[in-house]
Amino acid sequence: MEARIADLIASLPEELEEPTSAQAELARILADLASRPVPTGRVHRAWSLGTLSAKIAAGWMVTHVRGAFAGEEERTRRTNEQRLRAALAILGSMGYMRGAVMKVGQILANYPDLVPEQLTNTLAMLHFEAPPMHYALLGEHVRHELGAEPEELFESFEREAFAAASLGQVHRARTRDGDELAVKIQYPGIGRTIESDFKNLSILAAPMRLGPDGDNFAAQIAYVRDMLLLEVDYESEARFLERAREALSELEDVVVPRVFRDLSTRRILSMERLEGLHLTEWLATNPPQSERDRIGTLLNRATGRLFFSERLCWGDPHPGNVMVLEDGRLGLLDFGSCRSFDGHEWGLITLGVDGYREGGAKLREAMSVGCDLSAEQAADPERMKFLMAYAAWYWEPMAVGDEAFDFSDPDYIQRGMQLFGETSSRRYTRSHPVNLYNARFLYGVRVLCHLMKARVHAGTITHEELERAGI
Amino acid sequence: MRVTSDTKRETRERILAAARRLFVARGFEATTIRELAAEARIAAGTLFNYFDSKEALAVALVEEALDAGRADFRAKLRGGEELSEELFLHVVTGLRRLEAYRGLVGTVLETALSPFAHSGISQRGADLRLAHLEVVEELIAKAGATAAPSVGPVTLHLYWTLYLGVMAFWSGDESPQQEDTLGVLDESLRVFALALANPAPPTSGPATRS
Repeated sequence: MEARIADLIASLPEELEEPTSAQAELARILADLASRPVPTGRVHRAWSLGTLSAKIAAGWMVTHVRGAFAGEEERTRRTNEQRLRAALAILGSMGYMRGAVMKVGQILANYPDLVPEQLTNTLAMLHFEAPPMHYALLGEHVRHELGAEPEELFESFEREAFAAASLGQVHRARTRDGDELAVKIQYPGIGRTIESDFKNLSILAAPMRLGPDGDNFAAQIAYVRDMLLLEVDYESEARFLERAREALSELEDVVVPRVFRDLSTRRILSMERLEGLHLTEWLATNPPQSERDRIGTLLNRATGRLFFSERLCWGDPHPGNVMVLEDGRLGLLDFGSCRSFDGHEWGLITLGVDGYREGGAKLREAMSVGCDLSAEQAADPERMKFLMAYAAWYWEPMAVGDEAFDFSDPDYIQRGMQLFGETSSRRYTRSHPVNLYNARFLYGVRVLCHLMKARVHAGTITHEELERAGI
Repeated sequence: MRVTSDTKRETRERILAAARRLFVARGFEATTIRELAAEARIAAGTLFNYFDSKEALAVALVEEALDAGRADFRAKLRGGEELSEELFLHVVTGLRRLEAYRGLVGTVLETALSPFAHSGISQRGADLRLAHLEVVEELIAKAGATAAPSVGPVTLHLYWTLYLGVMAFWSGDESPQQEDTLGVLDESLRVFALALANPAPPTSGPATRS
């Protein structure tokens, strides 16, 4: 018996790669990324995705089996290494996939404790470092989409992109009427690439259905797929931008860019260009506490207004999508992955609000219904204890009454992260997909406030916005 | 009555115009020589004095479009582009002029540009190839992108194979507005430019990677 276990361990793959320093590995992968094109064939992508997931799975399995025979400290070290390597492997494929997976990278970058810090920084930079389309390609693509080349359509059009978008790139332009624009252009074919990727992802996710919450997990994957597909459609983003702009028009210090419909299609989005600093750049100027508080407050107010009054979830809160304008106003960008809640989803959210207000049995009911639990699951005290802890974390900034909540507290963000981590390790993934948006939105906004070290009267704002929306 | 060179030129142009209309409207396969002659208001026999087959007409149209594309390319080139972008522009200006004839390209690839093409048409194919490759050679030389002392026939042959591959892909590309061709062309030319900048080491002994 002993021998057989030893044989089994020996037959497992060795460490994924020779141990190298994380930095050197990262440098190598980033250099490699720069030269990689977007794959166009489905088979090609299935191969790259499949290999990647197989490598990660093998890596985790090695750790798991070896870990069973290792001391606690050794096990932690191995897990961390494995996690880093897995994250690096994901990063390695990200530039290659450049559409869907880079989006996942941006989401990861927003969760500072999920991956080691240096990796998070690198991921955060990826917002603006996708390999560019040259002008000849871009001009031809624009001609296909809008019927004429950029120089015929615009008064001026900068040949070099000033920012990379996850699905393409952004160029400065001026209309014949003198409006300054940011023109977001999607890489040709990437939309169909994403559809194809997600067909593959569903296949790869199949083994995970072995878990007790498998069907639910598949539903959540489907929901994320829908969200990403929505993001590929710039016409949908244009509609969300217009809705948000209208809904926030009463807030004088918040700006959502205006859309130029005549110069937009499903693949091209022409928007008013906002002049100012992205959040990270702004924070680098070391703004005073009062300004951090003011911007954090505006962010909570604006997103809260969209959420409760417009039933619109701003799906992609990361530092690249928040600007502090030259005149001090807050600019919100990128409404690609917004979610407009339908009646059923909204019912779940208001149930959650009722649960928060009443507490006790009502809160338990809200969590149970919101997470789509069976009677048996709802009766599981461990699961319920965990969900109640999550709810408490969720409502904590609002529960301080008229006080300002200090988002600079790293403990608060870490506890949130830990709760997320436990969800998957305990396989408590069962949850209505609407919660994915909700969590990504809420956690994202709170991480942004944390980065700003902002103190925000979150309770007051939430209560006012609930009242305004008649909830 | 003597047929003057002006009349000849005018007749040739009329036949080409007829071919442009009918090939685009009905498709290459469905159009007959008789219909082409009627459209050009000449006898079918007369048409053969100018073009010895329907395929030769298709080649002439493609050649004409690519010549116009080359002029567009010269006009659009601003200087300062990278080699892969210049090569891209060169191909894409040609494709743009060929848009109306996308249905013909397969035939032209098979008859005039294939190594197995018969002599009459393949002479036109050879001319077409030469005109295209002259530009490519010029761009590569200008960019100084190759470590080799000159652009050799192997390099140009590789390029030509790549080009024909992209043309074949484009002629059958069913993606919206052939957007996939843009990606394939971009990727192909980047790889080609990259290979030029990093020539393979001599192949003596087993392949090694440094």
